[in-house]
Amino acid sequence: MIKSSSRNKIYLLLIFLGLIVFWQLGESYLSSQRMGSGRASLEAFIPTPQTIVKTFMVEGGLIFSELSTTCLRASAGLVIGLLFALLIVSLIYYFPFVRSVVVPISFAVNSFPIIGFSPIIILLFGQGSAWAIIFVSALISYFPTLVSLEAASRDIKSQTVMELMKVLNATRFQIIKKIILPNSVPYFFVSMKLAIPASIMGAVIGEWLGANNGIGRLMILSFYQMKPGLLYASLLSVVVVSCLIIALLSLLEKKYCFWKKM
Amino acid sequence: MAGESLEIKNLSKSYQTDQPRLVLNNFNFSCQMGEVVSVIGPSGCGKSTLLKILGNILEPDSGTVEFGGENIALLRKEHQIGWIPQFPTLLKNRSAADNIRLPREIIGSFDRDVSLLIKTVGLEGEENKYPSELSGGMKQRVSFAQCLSYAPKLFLMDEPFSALDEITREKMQGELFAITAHLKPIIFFVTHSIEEAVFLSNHIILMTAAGEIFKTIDINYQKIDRKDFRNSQEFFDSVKTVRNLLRRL
Repeated sequence: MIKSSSRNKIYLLLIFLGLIVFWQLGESYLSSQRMGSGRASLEAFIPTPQTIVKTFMVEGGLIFSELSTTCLRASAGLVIGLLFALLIVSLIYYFPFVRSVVVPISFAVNSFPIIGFSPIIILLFGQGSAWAIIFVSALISYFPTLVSLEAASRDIKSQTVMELMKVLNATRFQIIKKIILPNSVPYFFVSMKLAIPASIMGAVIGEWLGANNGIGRLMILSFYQMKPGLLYASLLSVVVVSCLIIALLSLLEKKYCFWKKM
Repeated sequence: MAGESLEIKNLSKSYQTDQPRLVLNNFNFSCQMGEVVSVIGPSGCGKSTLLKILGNILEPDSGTVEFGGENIALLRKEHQIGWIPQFPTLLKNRSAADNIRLPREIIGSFDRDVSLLIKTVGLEGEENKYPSELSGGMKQRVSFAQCLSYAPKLFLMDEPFSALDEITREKMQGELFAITAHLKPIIFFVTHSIEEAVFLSNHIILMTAAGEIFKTIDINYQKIDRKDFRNSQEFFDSVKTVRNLLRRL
């Protein structure tokens, strides 16, 4: 007997493969119709899955190299966003009044369209600066991290185990080590699942706005050079990396937070 | 240890909501080591607040709590206060046994063997389960074992047996008696069960909704044979007296 979760995965895979086959066959048919009537092939705008795979095989090295640069910037942005969120949550934890100041500001910043910020950021750091990209990435990854960790801090603070800690005269270090850190792990995974794709997206947006390299720049170049295959392949590589990281995080979460779903 | 007593003097506490709400009003009481005190009263009359002040978790607006002539804060610093909340939140990432070990880890005790405690609270075979796998009653027993693990001088219990079935509740009440006889702590507990209060206590404090002591009832007779006491005329008379007084609140 196949488990229901395995069966769902098989269905999902079949639907995905079905969509790709439909895309390939549908586009080939429509392109032949268009060319018969003297119009340009659809391939000029939307590459077929076959073209995307071919592009991967030809331009794989370039895509991988540009993607590595982007991931490096995204990692730096993620670390900065995470550290800043941790600092703010720690301040909120020990000085609750900070919450009423910082959280509304964070919500306001998050609701701002990042593209609107871009000229200011580029002016601030200089055209083509890696720091501008890292800043955008940090800005985007900061908010989901803050929201998750702040929820964790409120949840932990409200637990009656904190009363027990007070009665036992536990030190601040003991409370952090025994209560706060272990209880924060599930929230940390949730925040990372949100923040990592956000940081990659932030880095790509930053590269669109002005960079000398990176997958975002490659996407912009392939757009202007009318290379839809390379554009789609670049985009797909970003999606694949994000999905792989989320899958890895899910595995780690299962290993370290096994008690959560018991 | 003998001669040490708990002295509560002129204790008042109010909460600031839209309007200040007085939950404890000029509360005075004293008891000796080895005595069990139960607090009964309508919901919101300040019973849990009283326990939190006794545990030095909350500060009163006025009044003092002293143990052996010293401020209660000293007793807390010496790890001599046990705390069993109404809804114990155990650490989700720790098994029942590891949760029981937690107070000893905090205090810095080298004795981490909790098998006897697990047996005492009837959790044999369940010690490796995580809180999400435990029933409400089991969690209360873990919380009880946590408290027993460091043998404090003052036990503060907020409806400690409310989630237990009748038989387990009787067993745990028996354990509480054994603890009283052996360690001679002061046990202060909040309950809604008149029978439980009469069965366990030396003193029963009846509180009004305004947070004042309505009456203190002393149960003076000797409860030598526990099983017989539950069926004795004295027990039924005391339950009746407390019930009638509560109806007058």
